[in-house]
Amino acid sequence: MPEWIHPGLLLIGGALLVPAFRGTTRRAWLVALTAGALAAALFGGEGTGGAVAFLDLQLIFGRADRLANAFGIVFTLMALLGIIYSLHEEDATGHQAALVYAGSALGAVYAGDLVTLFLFWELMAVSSVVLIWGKREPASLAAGYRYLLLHVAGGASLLAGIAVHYKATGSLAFEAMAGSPGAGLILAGFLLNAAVPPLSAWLTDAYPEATVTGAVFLSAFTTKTAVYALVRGFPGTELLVWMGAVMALYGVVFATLQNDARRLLAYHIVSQVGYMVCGVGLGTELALNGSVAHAFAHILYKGLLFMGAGAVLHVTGKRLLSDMGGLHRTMPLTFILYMVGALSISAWPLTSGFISKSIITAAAGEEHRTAVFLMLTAASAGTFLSVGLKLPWFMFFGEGRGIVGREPPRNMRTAMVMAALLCILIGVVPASLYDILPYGMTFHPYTVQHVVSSLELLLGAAAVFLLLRRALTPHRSLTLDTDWLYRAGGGLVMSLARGLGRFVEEKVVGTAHESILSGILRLAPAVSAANRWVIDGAVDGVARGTGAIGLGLRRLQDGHLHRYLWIMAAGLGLMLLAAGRYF
Amino acid sequence: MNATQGKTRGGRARWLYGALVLLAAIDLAARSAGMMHGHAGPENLPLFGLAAGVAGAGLVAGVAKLILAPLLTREEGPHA
Repeated sequence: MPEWIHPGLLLIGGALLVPAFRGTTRRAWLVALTAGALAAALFGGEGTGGAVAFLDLQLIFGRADRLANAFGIVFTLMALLGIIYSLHEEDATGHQAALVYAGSALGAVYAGDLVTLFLFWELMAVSSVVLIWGKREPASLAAGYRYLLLHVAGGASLLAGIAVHYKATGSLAFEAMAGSPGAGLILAGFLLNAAVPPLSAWLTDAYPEATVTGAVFLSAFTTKTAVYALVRGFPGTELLVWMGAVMALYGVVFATLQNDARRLLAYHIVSQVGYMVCGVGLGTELALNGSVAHAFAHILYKGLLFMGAGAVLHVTGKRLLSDMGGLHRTMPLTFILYMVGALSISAWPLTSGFISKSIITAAAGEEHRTAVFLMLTAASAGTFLSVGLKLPWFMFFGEGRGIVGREPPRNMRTAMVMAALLCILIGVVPASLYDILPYGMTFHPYTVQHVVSSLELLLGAAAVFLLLRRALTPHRSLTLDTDWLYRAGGGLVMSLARGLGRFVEEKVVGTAHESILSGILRLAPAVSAANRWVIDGAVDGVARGTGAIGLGLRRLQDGHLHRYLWIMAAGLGLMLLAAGRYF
Repeated sequence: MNATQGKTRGGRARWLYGALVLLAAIDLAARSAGMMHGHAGPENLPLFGLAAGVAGAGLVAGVAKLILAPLLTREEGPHA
């Protein structure tokens, strides 16, 4: 495919030029760049290109098949929406980081070999942490370091797995690899980025600490790149079925405990990615299509939800539900657009989530996985409970608390309207999504049974919320997750290090001081005397001798040339005499 | 809570429960008329959605508030 333009490299290359522009020109450049990347993904077609020889390896930067193209389209679409949402910001670094982050996610998706995948995987981790640090607060700096630390560990696992896989198979092609000796390490690297518990706390720790616009980008790329990698590398892996089902419930249960709006939404990323991971594990064509469809839909509605919560944070400066309330009066458009995202994630009919989530649950049903089906269904009810009811109730309704709200800037509203329209478009015209999935689809979500059953489920959850609303009222509190393990582990390491340091200082250094250094100090007077008599004496003696020789030579130099000649002749004579005796 | 708020809340509850009863009636009627041809799995059971919604949301809220909150929640703190 000679005319194919790599959308990811387009974004990364274009990011370098961002500081060269200012004001309107920069905004036009950002939109043109992301729109160009979207066009490249939409109209690039299928094929393989961008082969580069490096050392003895053949790297393939452009493998554009149906699977890669589906992710490529939604990634570029989200990059465009995220850029529009962030146009009011003047921070060139933030825009550059966002573009490089989106570009590296695209680079990973189009990678035809494992080394290229790894390169973009790591670039994704480094560029995304800038979006967390961009908030420039102590909490975001600390969360960013923890995020980076875990992703570096995940990257190391991935690299080690690639090395083992290459050693065993002699191939670096990025294909299904379940039986490979390095597969476990590679899978661990993928699962960390997919935020599969207990490796999920980095997400809920870091995303709420990111900038308002940074969180929108973060919600889209890292976990979904991992889902892509799982679909490509580990379809039909039984372990993933259960991991995904547990993950779906884990996310909603923890979300119910949250007070921070964006942390609540972050837990729902974990939950929704659980559906996708479960679909990958089921491994049928319907299930894999469901995972890709759900990733596509999820990127759009989750982006919309983070945009809504971010708009409230941008306008009011509030992030805790316990500090909010009554905003539907002053931010009606934000409320309506947020609710489109909330209904989508809850799988209401006529929204994108209804289509994509139904495909995965139907695939579980077709495989007679009743327990998995029930777990996913329960998670769906829990999703509506917290994202569709709890969060909007306490943010937009409830007590006013005297917060003065207003609609966010026009560019933020535009991005939210676009995302909401896409959520509805996919819900109303499912074929628009089916056309870009990896396998052919004949799935019909709008049957009487499925629509009625779904509405019953959602209204049943609403009834539970009505009964338990007082118990679900958020309070200022800290909820511990598995991040406690490495935070406590870090504290333990530090206290061990301090104890070890104290031991070394007191026992080793102290003993050394007493036994060795004290002995040396006792020898010091003798060493000092030896220094004075031997070394100083030798130096002084040499100096005195040199001075005396110099004085004698000065006397010889009296300016009479004939005396010099006599001396030279005498010297020459002595040399000849010596030479004659020697030979 | 004043009288108006209470009235509004009661009104919302009535609408919600009314909608649920209506859906349940549609479910049973459509099923008996042979109109329910949905996807495979437990969804084929009568009133499955209603049961799953109440049980699922109740389970999630119950596990979160009754089991996890006492174990894992601390008042105030950096994430509060």
